[in-house]
Amino acid sequence: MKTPARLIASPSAWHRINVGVRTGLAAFGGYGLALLGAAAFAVGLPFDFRPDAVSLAIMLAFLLQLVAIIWVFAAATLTRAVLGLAVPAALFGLWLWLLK
Amino acid sequence: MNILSLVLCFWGFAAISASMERHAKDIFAAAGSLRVRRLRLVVGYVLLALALPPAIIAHGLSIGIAVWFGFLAITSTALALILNWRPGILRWGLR
Amino acid sequence: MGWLHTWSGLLLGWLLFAIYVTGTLSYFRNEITFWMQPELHRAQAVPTEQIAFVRALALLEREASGAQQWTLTLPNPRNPTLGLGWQTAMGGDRQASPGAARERPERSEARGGRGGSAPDSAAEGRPFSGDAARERTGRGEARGERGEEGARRRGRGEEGASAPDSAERRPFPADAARERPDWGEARGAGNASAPQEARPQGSGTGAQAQRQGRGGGGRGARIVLDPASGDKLEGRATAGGNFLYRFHFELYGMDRTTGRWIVGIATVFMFVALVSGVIVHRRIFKDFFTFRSGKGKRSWLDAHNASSVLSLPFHLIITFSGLVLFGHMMIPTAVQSAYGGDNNAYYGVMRSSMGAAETPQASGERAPLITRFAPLIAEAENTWGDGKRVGSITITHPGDRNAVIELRQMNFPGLTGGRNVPTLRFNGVTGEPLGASAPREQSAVQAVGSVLNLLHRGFFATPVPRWLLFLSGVGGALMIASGLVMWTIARARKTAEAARTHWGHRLVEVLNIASIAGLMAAIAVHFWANRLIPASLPARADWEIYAFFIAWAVMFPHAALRRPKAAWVEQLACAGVLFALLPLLNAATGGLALPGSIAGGTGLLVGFDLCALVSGAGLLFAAYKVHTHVPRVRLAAAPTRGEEPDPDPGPETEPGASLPVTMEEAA
Repeated sequence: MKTPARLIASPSAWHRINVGVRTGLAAFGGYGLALLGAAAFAVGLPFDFRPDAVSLAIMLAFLLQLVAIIWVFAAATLTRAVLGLAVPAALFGLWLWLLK
Repeated sequence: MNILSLVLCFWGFAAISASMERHAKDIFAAAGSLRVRRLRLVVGYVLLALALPPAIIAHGLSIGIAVWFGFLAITSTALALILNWRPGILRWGLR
Repeated sequence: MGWLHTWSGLLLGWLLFAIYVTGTLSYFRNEITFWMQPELHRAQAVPTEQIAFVRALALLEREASGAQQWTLTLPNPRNPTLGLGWQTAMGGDRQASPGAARERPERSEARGGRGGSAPDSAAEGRPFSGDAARERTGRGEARGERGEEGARRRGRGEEGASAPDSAERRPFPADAARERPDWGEARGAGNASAPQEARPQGSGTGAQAQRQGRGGGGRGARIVLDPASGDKLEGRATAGGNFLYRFHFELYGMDRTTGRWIVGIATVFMFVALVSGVIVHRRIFKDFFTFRSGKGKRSWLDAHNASSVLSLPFHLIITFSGLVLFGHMMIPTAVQSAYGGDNNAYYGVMRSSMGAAETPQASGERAPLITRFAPLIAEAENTWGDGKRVGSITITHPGDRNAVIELRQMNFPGLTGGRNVPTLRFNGVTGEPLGASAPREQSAVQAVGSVLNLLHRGFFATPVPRWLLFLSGVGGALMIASGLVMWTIARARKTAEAARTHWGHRLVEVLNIASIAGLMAAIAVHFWANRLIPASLPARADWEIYAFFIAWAVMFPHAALRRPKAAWVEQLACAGVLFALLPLLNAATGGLALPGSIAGGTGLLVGFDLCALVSGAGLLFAAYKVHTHVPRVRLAAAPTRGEEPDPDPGPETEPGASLPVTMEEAA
């Protein structure tokens, strides 16, 4: 969970782009993942009483968003940051698709 | 019961702080042996745990747990201040 | 990660500080509202046997004979007055029972009062609105408590009813149930009566409220009585503690939904800042007792660590529960996916899951209502045992043969039960018991939701937990303030070396001063305005709010024009003096002064005045420390801008809480 050195070190153009991309990824990717995760959990969680699943899905969604944002800034490379969001997003998408 | 819980929390934290080398030096002038400090650590956690039942008795299970966390917060704040200000006054309570 | 912590904390830090401070004050908003109505201060809470029920009922008979429901709010530790409310059904389902119907006028009222626009009601219709409903009601009530407002309010109520009712315009039936999905509350959700929160009142069960959510509009009104004499008390119109309360989650002067989204996003930032801070500073758990005073940046770091770690559970819970309270708004996909976008289906399921006692139809036959409530109260308190008390009495169909008297318990029994407050029902003519509400089983998820909800709102029977939450909130405000100040200190060196201050640094500095010290001063001004604006001025409640914002707005140019140190000192001193003099102001403008409130045992007034004194003293102390502070010379070039301003010690600061921050200046 170390901030990559170049994130702090040189305020070069590349650094700015890197931070900018990560910020965008955290903001939109994190929220998007939360939305997708909530959709999947709300249907997929094994509760007899559906509203329970909905409530829990919302709670989990916020945690998901948190972890996603932190991951985006903790990942050593941009590729990993992207993958860290893309893979779970794909899994949630798949899960949702299987459930429907 | 609230007071009891508060007192237990406070002395629990005091014992834990006395198990740390830096604070032990502040309080006793000497850090003490590792064994003594480890004992203080255990005593400290036991006291913190003992502070929970009175809070639950006073407030019921769910609120009692919340109150216990609150007590932990304010007693540790008080202790941090005392450690910075007059750590010596903790000596009498810690043998 | 350090980067993430710094920037997520800084970017909305000023807003978060304001949210934390006003939110912390909201734990005592009933008390604040009461303080802000000095006309009510001399009411004395009396034991239930001595409450002037007969006069109160006579008054209701006179003022609200056609009402389909009356509610009497008994004196409680947080409000010694006897509140009377009533609800008249206007067309629609006659059987409509209190909860929702009762709420609607208030809603329209609240909207009117706030200048909320119609569209936002639709938006609000979304789930979090249960919340909204409750708050709305709270606000409505606060207003309703003012006698003068009564008439105005009634007018508005009518407005609300004749214009297509706001509830009707909303996409979903009733707020009441809408909120419940969130928290899995069985009943009483819609009924604003969170006894702790606002004053207990309508007692309709959630389901009833729901059922008739679509019913007609209705009119409600509220009067406040002296409990012993039954005399009407005319409280002034005031924004009350409810303004601070509402500000903390929907800001002001903008569309409600917008305000909530802004606060919601700020909360996400807070959550990220908290957790990334824990990850960055893992070591803080090792030495969280450590506070090294007089060491410049090191001390600020210690203060920041201590205020964060020592009440970390509180910060995490309050932030997470804040998010979950906005859950349906911010994460709409959960309901959409589970119910294919049919939100009504979702709320329908919620509704049907709640079994609620049926209120009998009015028979149309007149019969005298019993007026001796004392035996019923005694029976209820006996049944509940354990010192539980009756918080409110609701009479449905008063004067009818089928009148029902429902007694509600004053407090929530625990954290896991939701807003599921025990009630006991009696026949209103014979006094024969009709049974108690059955405690409802809650699923684990509902219990978790309930714990989050109730903790966030501080619904407790006893003052101890509420004070703990309050103190933790103060700690949180200190945490944010010290973090913000640290940003400038960490960069002070660079700034000092540079020929001139970077504009970004200067901006942060100015914003720090005006939004930390300035906010404190503005809150004090809000309280002063409450007493200095003539009680009869039209729209005076709004002027209390404007005074707050005008004062706050003035702080920004002031901070920008003065040198930082001077600006800190002046604004802190200003806030400190204003707070410290509040008890005097209270005494001078018709409030019950400190000696009187101590002697009379009016704890809530004592608490307010003492808090004002303590925060005033804390703020003045901070101002003094900044004033006498000589920046440690760390660089050859003495930093002129690098001095370490003291953040204010939080709202109603406890001496202990303010010390970690202020003491560092001491050495």
